[in-house]
Amino acid sequence: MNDDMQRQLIQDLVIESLEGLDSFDAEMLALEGSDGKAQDHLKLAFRMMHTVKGSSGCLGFETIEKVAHSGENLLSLLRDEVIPVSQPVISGLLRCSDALRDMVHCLEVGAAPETIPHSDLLQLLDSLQRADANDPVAGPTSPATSASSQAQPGWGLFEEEPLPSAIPAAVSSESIPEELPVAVQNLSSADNANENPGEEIPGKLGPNNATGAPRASESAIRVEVAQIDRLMNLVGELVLARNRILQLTGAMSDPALNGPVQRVNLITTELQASVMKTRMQTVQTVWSKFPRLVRDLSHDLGKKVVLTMEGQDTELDRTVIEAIRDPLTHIVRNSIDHGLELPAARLASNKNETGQLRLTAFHEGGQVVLEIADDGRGIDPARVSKKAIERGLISADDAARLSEREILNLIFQAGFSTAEKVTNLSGRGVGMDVVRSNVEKIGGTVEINSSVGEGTTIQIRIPLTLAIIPALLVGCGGNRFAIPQASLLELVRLDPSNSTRSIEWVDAAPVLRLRGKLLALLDLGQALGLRSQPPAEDAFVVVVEAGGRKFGVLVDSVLDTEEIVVKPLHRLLKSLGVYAGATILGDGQVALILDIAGLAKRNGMSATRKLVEAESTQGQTVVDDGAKSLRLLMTRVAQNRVAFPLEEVTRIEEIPANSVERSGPREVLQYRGRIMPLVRIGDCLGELRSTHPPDLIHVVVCQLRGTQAGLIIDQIEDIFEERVKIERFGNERCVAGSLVAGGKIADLLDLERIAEFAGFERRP
Amino acid sequence: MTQYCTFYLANKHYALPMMDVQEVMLQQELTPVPLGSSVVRGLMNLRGNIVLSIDMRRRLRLPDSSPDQESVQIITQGPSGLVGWMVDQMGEVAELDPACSEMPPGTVSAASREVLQSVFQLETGLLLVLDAQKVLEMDHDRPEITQEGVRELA
Repeated sequence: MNDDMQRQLIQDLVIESLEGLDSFDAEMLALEGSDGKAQDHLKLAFRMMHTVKGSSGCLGFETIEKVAHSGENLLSLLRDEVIPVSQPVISGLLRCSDALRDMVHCLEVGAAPETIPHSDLLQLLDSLQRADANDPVAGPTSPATSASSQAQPGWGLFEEEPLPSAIPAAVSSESIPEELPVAVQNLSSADNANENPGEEIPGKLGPNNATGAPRASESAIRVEVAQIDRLMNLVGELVLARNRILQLTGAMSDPALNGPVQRVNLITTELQASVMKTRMQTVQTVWSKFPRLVRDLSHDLGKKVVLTMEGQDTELDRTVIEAIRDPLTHIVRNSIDHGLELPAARLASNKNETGQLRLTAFHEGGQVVLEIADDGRGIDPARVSKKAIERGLISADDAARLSEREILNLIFQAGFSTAEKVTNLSGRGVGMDVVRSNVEKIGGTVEINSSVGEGTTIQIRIPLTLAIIPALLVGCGGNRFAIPQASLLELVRLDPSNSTRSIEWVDAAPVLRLRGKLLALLDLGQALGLRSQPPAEDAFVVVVEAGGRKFGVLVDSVLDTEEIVVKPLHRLLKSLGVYAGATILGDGQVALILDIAGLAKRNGMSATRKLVEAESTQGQTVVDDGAKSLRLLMTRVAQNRVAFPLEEVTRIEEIPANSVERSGPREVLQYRGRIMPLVRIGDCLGELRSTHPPDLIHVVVCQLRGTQAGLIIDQIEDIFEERVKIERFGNERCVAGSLVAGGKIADLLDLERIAEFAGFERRP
Repeated sequence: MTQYCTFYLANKHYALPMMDVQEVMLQQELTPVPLGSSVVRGLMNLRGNIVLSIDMRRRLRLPDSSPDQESVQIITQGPSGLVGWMVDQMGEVAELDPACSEMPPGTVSAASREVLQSVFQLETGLLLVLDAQKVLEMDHDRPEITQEGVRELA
């Protein structure tokens, strides 16, 4: 672990803990005010204490963890109404919070938290736990002598379960740690420090008299998201005003005006980019904590775990990042603690002794999906329903009626925990309910899939609310709609003269034959009640996939692609279920964003999907002849047919040949506000030149070694999805091999070799 | 004394507590919301914020104005975002004592009564004060458009 990362983790802990402790105090005071919502306050306070304990434990600050653990124990007794809420108890808890705050301040300035006296406090918290309803005044004046916490009256949900040995150690004053960190020995006399550090150190080593390093809470400020939203709105307006100014000055062509206007133009663009960036963060910001967490947890538990992460670059809105931080941490902890087995148990069940934990993030259907998957023991629905009945969460009758999936979802109920023992890490019945409530707060969903013996996958779907997404703008019935590109597969233009490019009808349902498969169509105009007559013969089909459904959306026209800022819809429109939000377009007008999954659901597209799928698997004998299924963009360069792997293609553009400019030896194009290098595929394939240069050239936009580049071809032919066998005859440069698609031979391009050929530098 | 922002709908005089009003703007081009309630006239852009425009004539079940009639949007900040109240014409700002207001008489139409907060008797006529919250509680009158059954290709 490098120092920077360590420091970052500690800083995060400091900020998070201080905020948590402030709200903890507020909850305690509210609890004392007895407004009849004692349980709510206790639950919130418990969560905060739990977070402080968890995060400090992860970073190995045992003293903080220990104090928080004591506080948490006391809170859980209060929550379960084993002991009554009383003034001494609240005072004790507030003292606990004060001590924690002091310790956290120590971390901030690089001092050891152990230097804060805490053994008195631990004694006090311990004695408060034993105070029963009739004797609420056991307090600091009567320090308890018994070190055993086994005698604690009741543990709520867990009373039948034996306490692990870690807990008595934590709450008893006698067992203050023998070994002490070096830092403490430096600060006090070494002899005494070995006895009982907390009490021996004179005075309080607060942050004020420690080093002069700036506090973490000062080097970063927290800005309300609403503030950034406002900023973003204003920048958006500025961009529109700028555009108008550019138009006007363009018409006037006054050189004195041009300079300043260009400056305003540049500044506005930069401002917009900066504000956007302020809001967006990659999921890596949350994930970067996990390797350490996984290492420490698995170490403590004697498990072997390998963590793999995919899609770290997936960008999320700041608010979303904040909201998923805790849920993800909880799930990861749970997976290691409860999901993955000990190496011996894994070997016994024929698994590799090293458990797999996989984090994946990606965009799908206009949502961000975060998956946490382990290959552990899985969750047994029978055990879940048994526990749920025991805990009184559901009745036995209910349990019998629930599906397996519904039963699994019971683990998201508050107060549910199937762990046989309460460990320091998880299993107190907070966790999964926090996960769900946090995710639902931002309009997301959590789903759990598990099969016994094979593992558990938890999928968090977060809506695109507040996110900036690329979208396709389509026209229908005189309206413009945005379709999130995440759910977009391809576009097909209908052609009445070609039977595979025109609408056919099965009963009353329109379908399209797309590469030999039936694709169900949804007429957007009709679905939204914009028109009743059938769509034009040369309409467009937007092929989309969302919520597990693949279908075509019939629209009148395809307008443009644009990066749009998603704005939430008013409550009155959300209930329609067909719009995911609204956005403001470049011209200042509002456009609605279609919720493809919702649209499909509302129009009953799910039923058609099975049929399409059945058809696609039917008649397709899978023979392993070295062929693989590929989606190909077929193009023509001079006389050659040239195929692009479709997943590598970002966009296809048609541009006037005279807009190609030169920069150094390269041909370049001004494309979406940037300079895009061009590569002539004809050159890559050996000086192939078309006989007559066209006025319009076709450019396939791809990523070459991380750079967006345009590959020039003569003509677009079609898209194929076929099982093809790639054969090589020689070492043709830039070509991966030859294949037969659509009954004709084509060369399959190798983009890496093209990048090499065209001299692109490797970029991350 | 409380300030009221007054406006006209079909020649009747209405008012909103000034506290609820953010600003007033001239009618803008609206983006219609297909499948939405007929009361929802569309969405508009207010300095980068999306405003939901409510046709107050339709909300109060008054006859539609003629298409060439100009209208005004009164922007209010509701709990679920900005809402523009589309009204015929703005009136004066009235400073009135809420103690002088009366409950709406039982004879007013049900559609009006559910959103009326109180009534002032002014020299020029009655001033009907609307309850901004209640005006937006209208999920129930959203026409339900359901698709006929589930399409099956088989």
